[in-house]
Amino acid sequence: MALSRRDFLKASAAAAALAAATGGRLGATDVHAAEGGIRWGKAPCRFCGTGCGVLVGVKDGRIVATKGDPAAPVNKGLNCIKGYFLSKVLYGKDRLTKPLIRKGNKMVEASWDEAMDLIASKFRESIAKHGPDSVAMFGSGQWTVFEGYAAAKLFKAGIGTNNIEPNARFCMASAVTGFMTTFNSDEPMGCYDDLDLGDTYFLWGANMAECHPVLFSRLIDNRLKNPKVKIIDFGTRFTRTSQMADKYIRFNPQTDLALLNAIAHIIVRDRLYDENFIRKHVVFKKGKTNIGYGLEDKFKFADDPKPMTFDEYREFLKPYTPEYVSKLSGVPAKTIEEVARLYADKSRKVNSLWTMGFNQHVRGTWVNNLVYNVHLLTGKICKPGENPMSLTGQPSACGTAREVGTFTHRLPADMVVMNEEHRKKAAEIWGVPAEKIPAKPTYHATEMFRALDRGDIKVLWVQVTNPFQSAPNLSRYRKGARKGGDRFIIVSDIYPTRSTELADVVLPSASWVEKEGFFGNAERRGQQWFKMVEPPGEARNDLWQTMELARRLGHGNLFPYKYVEKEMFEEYRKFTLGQGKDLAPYEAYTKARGLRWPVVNGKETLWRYAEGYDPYVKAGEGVKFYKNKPNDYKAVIWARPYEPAAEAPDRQYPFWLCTGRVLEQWHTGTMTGRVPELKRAYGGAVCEIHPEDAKRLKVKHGDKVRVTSRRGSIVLTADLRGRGKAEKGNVFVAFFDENKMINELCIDAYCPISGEPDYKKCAVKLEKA
Amino acid sequence: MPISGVVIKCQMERLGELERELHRPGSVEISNVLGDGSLIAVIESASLEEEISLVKNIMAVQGVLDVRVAYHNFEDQLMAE
Amino acid sequence: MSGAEEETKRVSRRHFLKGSLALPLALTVAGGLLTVPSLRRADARGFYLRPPGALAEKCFLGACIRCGKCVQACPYRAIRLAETDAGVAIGTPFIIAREEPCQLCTDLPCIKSCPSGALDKGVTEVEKVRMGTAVIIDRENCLSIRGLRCEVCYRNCPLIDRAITIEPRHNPRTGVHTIMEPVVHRDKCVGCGICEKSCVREQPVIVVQRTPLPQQDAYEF
Repeated sequence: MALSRRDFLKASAAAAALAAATGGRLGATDVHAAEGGIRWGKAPCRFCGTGCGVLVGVKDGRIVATKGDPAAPVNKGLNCIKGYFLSKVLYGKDRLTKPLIRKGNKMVEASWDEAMDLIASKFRESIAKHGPDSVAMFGSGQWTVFEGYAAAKLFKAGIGTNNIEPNARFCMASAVTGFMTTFNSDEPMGCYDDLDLGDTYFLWGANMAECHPVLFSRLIDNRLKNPKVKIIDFGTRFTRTSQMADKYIRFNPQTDLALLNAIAHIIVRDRLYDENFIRKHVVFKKGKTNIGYGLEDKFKFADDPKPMTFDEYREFLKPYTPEYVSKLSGVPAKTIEEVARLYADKSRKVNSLWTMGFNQHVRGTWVNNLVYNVHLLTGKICKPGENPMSLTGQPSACGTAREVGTFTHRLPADMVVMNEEHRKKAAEIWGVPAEKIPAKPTYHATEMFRALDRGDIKVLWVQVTNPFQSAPNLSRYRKGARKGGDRFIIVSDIYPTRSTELADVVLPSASWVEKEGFFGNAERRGQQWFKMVEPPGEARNDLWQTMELARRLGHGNLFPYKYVEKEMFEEYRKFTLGQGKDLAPYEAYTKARGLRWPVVNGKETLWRYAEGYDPYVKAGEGVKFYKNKPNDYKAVIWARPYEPAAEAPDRQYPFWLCTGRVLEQWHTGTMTGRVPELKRAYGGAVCEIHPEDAKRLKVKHGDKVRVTSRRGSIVLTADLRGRGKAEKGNVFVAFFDENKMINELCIDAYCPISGEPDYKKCAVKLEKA
Repeated sequence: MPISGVVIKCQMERLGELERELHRPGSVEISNVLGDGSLIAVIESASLEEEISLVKNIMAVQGVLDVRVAYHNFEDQLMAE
Repeated sequence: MSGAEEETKRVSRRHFLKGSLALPLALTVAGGLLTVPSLRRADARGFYLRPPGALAEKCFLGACIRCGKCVQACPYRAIRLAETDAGVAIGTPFIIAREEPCQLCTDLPCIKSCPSGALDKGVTEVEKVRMGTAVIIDRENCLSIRGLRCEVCYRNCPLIDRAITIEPRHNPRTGVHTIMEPVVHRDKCVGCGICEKSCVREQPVIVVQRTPLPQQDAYEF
């Protein structure tokens, strides 16, 4: 290619300037390079909790391409096909570009001022007439840290209500309460490096092959390189994960509680536990039993923990013999023995991985406790390659919802509103009197939608999520939203959804790289990105929307920032310092491909609570659960019993219904559904049925079948030969399809401790349609 | 026609907007955006006077903190004289 | 699953046969399908993807009476009739997998409807169907082979783990991931074309072709 002299000089000019600016330290990590007119910048993927790094290519103000970021440690340049199509996700034809106000039965375009003035007046009226607890915000594990922090601050320190909840209540709440009750601090002690370093992996109710695709690819490669590696898949349905596992163990739904206790029983019976580790690092406790299912409005539960001795725990485990649990679970006693031996095998580095099978469970907190029990009994924890790892579904359920604390009972950095010291600290950082922050939690997500239905909550603002497709027992909450009276629903989103259709005001929002952002993934890695393109039409950042409301309600003083994102982050960072949740300065995240907290003196932490890796653990301490001061810096082994599901199959409704995801479509499908290639690959929800059950019902593959629960009914195409093979007496339906909202059938029973609903178990009947 | 390579230091919060505002093919071509708030650009103009005027205009834009010249070529200017 | 974006019109046999002779009009109405290069009619070797149970091509052309009954019988409207560019095959039924593949109805209604035996009534199980064989024709553009997590063709295959399996191998570029390559097994592949439709690339990298002739040698592994 012959360069003209002019072009050559221009190239030299640019190079010289670049060298001058970077002091010659030219690293691919620092620079948004321009290449063929395309400008590339780094960002984490918009989808799952894996947090793959991508490079986003912008030309003429539009995203024209994305690619996996080879410099990102999470994925090293790879994506799944959702990530592959990121460049299309924001450009669906029906992108929302103007605020809409409901007038009669029509949604009418309005200006931002009109819309925000109306919203503010509704907030003001409701607060004046019914008090601050009559207004609420439902946010998201897809909120950026800035959006979540601003919302939490406005509601708790400005309006003075704890009525803020994230959709993460529907996916990770049980994992959180599991962490809090066992370790007194949220989030895993391990990281993705454990996928490379271990040799034994138990997957519990997690379809990693389809739901954490790039992590699964990493896990399988470990096995390819090391023949010792074993992957065991515990499931209620045969998936692509089961297909690639070394062993698939099917069990009756809900009996995971019993199985984990049986494993513990064997470990204790045969003295396979690590006595030393238990003595140094573990206390035993028991809580209440028969704790209910949260089916009644305003259901309240408070546990009553009591200490136990090891001997008492041994007694507790006695009934969970392999024989008894085998009858209950359908897993052969011999298999249970093998699994226990594998867990306890001193020559093996054992990991447990789980997602929604454990979390979306009426005893979700308990089952999280129980899997930690096994790792604590054997001392297989806080070691490289050997950890229990809770996998996260959303890109920032960790970074935003859990770490910033956008829950009714939470404040940033593991703190809670119920604790006076915590409130004082938050108030100080937020510059408000301590009394401003209310001390009592109000509603968790399900109760929030019940309150809206009853009319105890009047004004609800929904941001970056789609609850009127995803809530369990959906019909009640959809009807509740449109009951009128003083109710007023605002939904901020990027596309029309099953939630925007129920709103009184719809606000067009900026998404992903249309705004500056920060996400935190499943391995505690915070990742930052700069704004790269303008949002379409009049769409605005949710952060701006929240601050606009704040201004109009007289709380503009809470947001006195010039460079909002950076200054707010530095303020938020204050909560984390010295708490074992330390975040790095904002600048550091702009340069790095993410950093795993706690970050102390610029160094990230791969393994928490472990000497040599966690700066909070002193030399000689080995392992220290330093966040668990109330329990003498020890972790808790909880005696949690088996208790049945809220609604098991019976004569009238003889099948278990389980819901979940597929690789091609993400959550409620609002983004992936706008990518034609993904829609073609997997366009509509189907009902997975076992061929023998289908035969009995005279249903062939491809026939229409009506699935009915006590709460709803849907006609679906029967799938007898798909990627997921239902077990006998079970059916499975993915929840992404806005035309087949399976969550109408789901039961809104929840774990009394976490509030998380059980989307995996309810009873249905099937008929040929 | 003088050609120069410059480093334009910007206020972080205006970085993205300034990149779009200042980029003008044939006159001010922005080739890199740095994480520390700098824009790397190549400036072309018809004469030295025009170049100076252009740089002054850039400096006057709200959000621009500084413009540093790292490279300057004015061969044809000299040759013309 | 139909997934078709066409309007649902009652297609009478007479209407369909008329339409296939009025080619230019049919093309306009159908939105100029022929102009889209990925929707192959016959491939370069004159391969038409015939409905399930079709006899070998030469026999098929002799046996098929071009009645269009199989077209009507297909609940997914996957079967269409060849038009004037098909030469001696005008009016014979075929499938464009990329548009609407065969969904392998377990009761094989197309075969049941055929009056002439061009669709062999001896084929009674979907596993025994042999319409063609899927082939990955462009490895460099297959996302799975490049190391991304795709494998949509595999997950959608009605004979998953039999007609298409995943052969995992180490990804040397990243050093810590797996390349999950979909591999087609010609003895099990029925040639329905669901994989061809599912492929997320603009031009499908997996397509159904004429089944290669079996070859034998003395090796046993």
